[in-house]
Amino acid sequence: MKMDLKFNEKTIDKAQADIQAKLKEIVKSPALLSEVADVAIKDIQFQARRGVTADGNKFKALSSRWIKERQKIAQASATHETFKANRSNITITGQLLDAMGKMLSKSGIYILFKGMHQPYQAKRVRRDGVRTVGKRISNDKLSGYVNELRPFFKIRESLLPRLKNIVIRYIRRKL
Amino acid sequence: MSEPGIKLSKSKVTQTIDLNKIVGSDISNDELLVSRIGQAIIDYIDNRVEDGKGLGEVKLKSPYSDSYSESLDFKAAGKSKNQVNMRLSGDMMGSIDILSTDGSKVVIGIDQPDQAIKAYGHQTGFEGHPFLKGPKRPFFGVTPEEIKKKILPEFKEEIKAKRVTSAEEQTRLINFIRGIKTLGDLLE
Repeated sequence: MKMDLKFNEKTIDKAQADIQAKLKEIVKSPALLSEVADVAIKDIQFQARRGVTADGNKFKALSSRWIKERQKIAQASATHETFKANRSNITITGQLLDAMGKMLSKSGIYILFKGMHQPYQAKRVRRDGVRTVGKRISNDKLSGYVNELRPFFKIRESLLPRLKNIVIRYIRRKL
Repeated sequence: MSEPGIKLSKSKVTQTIDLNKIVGSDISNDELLVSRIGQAIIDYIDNRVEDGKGLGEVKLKSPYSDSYSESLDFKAAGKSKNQVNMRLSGDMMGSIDILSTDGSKVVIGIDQPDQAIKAYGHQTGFEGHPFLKGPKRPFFGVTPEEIKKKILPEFKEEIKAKRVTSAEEQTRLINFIRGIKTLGDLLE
């Protein structure tokens, strides 16, 4: 999954003609877009690890079978500090959310998932040793599956004042 | 430490700074410069707090409490117990803004009620809060000495130039952004 982060040109078209060109120039600034992307990435990670969707609802609970499996994974793999076997927060080792990054494009900036997600190790029940859970998969592909069940890849509406303030601060620094 | 010009209420936290008094010359005709220095003050507060320091560069009380540092929110934000930086979601620090300018006077602060109440709590040690208790962490505001030493050197040449500059275009651009009502209107 990727998110194309660009300022809404239709909104800018509503500005008075004499400031439109300046606004268009400002919102295409790679430095500004990069700052917006950094805040958006950090916030998506934060909300997901708190176990809430961008709309502020709790993520769907984990199945009891998966909770048991997560307990065994925790016995054999290094887990993220927000991990709890029964906590639905898109986090076991933290690989997926940590794989979020940004990439500058001609039209704006993308938020995307980089790299490959490694399988987990889980403790065997009846004998010693560990087994592998899952398979190697791109974080991009995995994010799509995860987002279908627990929608996390979205900027929350309540981030608007902060994003506007980033633009305002940028205008003050640059003009 | 309390600084003249800082006003705290649960719905608004502000500091009024008369730059003429600190600069030592009249810059009241240069609206753009006043606004740029105001923004530089906000950026300075932001960076100072990131270094764990509050008003007057006094170290903010550290570490965070055991209960807070064990909370899910704390861990989800990737915070460290010993690195006090007044950021969880980052919304409070991100809401500090220039609220108004008038000649050489600039008012910085937080007027979003949901963020101002957090700032009020930290500044006062959660005064009047029914159940929350915590240390005072006066992160907001700036002293004249900090402005002189840390902020004004960057603007030395502009202050000398004594221009008459209107900030009209900047104000119109900022007001346009302020007027955006939904996230969909800001980002496609």
